[in-house]
Amino acid sequence: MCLWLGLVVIVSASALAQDRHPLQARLAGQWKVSTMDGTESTELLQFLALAETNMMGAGENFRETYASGGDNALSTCRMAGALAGDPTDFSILDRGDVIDLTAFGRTRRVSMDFDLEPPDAYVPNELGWSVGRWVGDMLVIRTRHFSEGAIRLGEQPLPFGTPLAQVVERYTLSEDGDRLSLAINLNDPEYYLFSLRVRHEYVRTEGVLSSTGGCVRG
Amino acid sequence: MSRKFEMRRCQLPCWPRVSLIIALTLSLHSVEAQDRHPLQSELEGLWTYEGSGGPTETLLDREAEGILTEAAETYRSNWRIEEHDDEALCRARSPAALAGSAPDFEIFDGGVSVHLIAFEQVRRVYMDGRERPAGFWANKLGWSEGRWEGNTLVIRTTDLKEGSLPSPEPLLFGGPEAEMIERYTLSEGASRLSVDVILEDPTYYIHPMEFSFEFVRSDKTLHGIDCIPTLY
Repeated sequence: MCLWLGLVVIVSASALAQDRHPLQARLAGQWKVSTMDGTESTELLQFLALAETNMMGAGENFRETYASGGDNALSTCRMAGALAGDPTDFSILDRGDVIDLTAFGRTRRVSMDFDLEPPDAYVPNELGWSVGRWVGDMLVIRTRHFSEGAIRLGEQPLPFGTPLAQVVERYTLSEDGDRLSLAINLNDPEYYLFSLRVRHEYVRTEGVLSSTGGCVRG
Repeated sequence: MSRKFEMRRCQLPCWPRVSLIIALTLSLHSVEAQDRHPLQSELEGLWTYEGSGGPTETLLDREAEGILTEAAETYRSNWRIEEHDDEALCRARSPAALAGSAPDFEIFDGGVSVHLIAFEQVRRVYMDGRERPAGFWANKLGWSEGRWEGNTLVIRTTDLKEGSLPSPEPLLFGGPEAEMIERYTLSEGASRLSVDVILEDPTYYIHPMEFSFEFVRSDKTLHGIDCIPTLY
C-alpha cells in the first residue's frame, strides 16, 4: 500500500514538472543589445514615456527621497527588472533545473520549477525570486519578492519593488539561434497605474560583456 | 426483437421504479435546496468598490501575466482591438470581468434566484438547486448556482463562452472547463461586502487566479448608458 502511494506521489510530482526543453541549452551564451550604438531605441523611449505618465504619487515620493550619488546602494545594486529601463548585455548559463542570468555584474538564479516558493529564510532583495517555465518555444520567467530599488537610474529614476511588484520576462530565440527577443512586463500597482511593457532585441556575442562591476553598498 | 420485447415487458413494472427514482431525485433536490438564508435580503442594494492595493486592472494583469498557457499567449499575439475587445466593441461582458473592473453592481433578491446586475447585464443566480433547462447553451453569462456556506453566499458559474477581460494586456476567460467561484460576505452592520473571486480556466491559465475586493453600499443613481464602440 505504502509502495503504491509512494509511486503515485512520484508520478504526480514528475507530471507537474516540465521536461527539459530542447531550446534551453541553445539559450546559453552571451547576449548583446542589438542597438548598442549609444542611442536609445524607440521602444525604450516609448517605455520611459509610458512609465512617466503612469507613475503614481508613491513613485513621485520615491524620487524626492532618492539620491543618485555613488553612495546610494541603488546606484550599484541593480534590480532584476533593470534590463527593462537600462538594457544591457547579459549572459545565460544553463544548469538544467536552474538557469543563471548575469547582468550588471550580478547573477540571478532562475529555478525551472515554476511552483517553487521561496524558503522561510528567504529575505526579499533586489534580484527577487525567479521561477521559469517553457510556453511553447518561449521561456517565461516570473520574478517576485523584491526589495525596493529602481529599474532605471539617473535624474529621473523609475522606482520598483513594492511587495506586490512582479516582473515577467519572455525570451524567444530566433530560428538560427543567434537573435534573442526579450519582452519584459513590469507590474507594481503601488508605483504605476498600469503594468509597463518593453521589448529589447539581442544578438549573440562571443566578446566580453560590457556590464561589469557588481554591487557595492555604501 | 428481443430488445423490443424487453422494453414492452418493462413498461408496466418499470413505472414504480421510475416513480421511486423521481421521488429519490426530488428528495435529493430538497436536500440540495437550502432554506432561505436570513442574510439573502440583506445583500440587496447597490455596491461600489472601495479597495486598496492599486487599480484592479493592474492586479488582474499581475495575477495572469506569468501563468498564461500557450493558447493564451497565441491569443495575445493575435489580439486586435477591433476583433477581440468585448468592452470596446459593446459586446456582452464575461462575469469574470468583475476581477479586472470591480464595477458598481446591484443585487436583487428574487427568492429562488438572486439577480446580480453589472456591466448593464443581469445574471440570474439560482438558489434552488435546479438543473439547467433543456435547450440551455453556453453563453457569455454562463450558468450560475448559489448556496449559503454559513454567512457567505457562494456562487459557482460554469458554461461560459469566451470573453475578454479588462486588463492592460489582452486576457481571455471562458474555455470549456472554465469555472468562476464568487464568495460574498456581508460585514456585521451589512454596510460592507467582501467579494472573493476564483477564476479557473485550464485552457488559458496554468493555475487558478484569486482576487479579493471590498465593496461598500452606495446611494448612487444608476441610469442607462448607450455603449459606443471605442475603436481608434
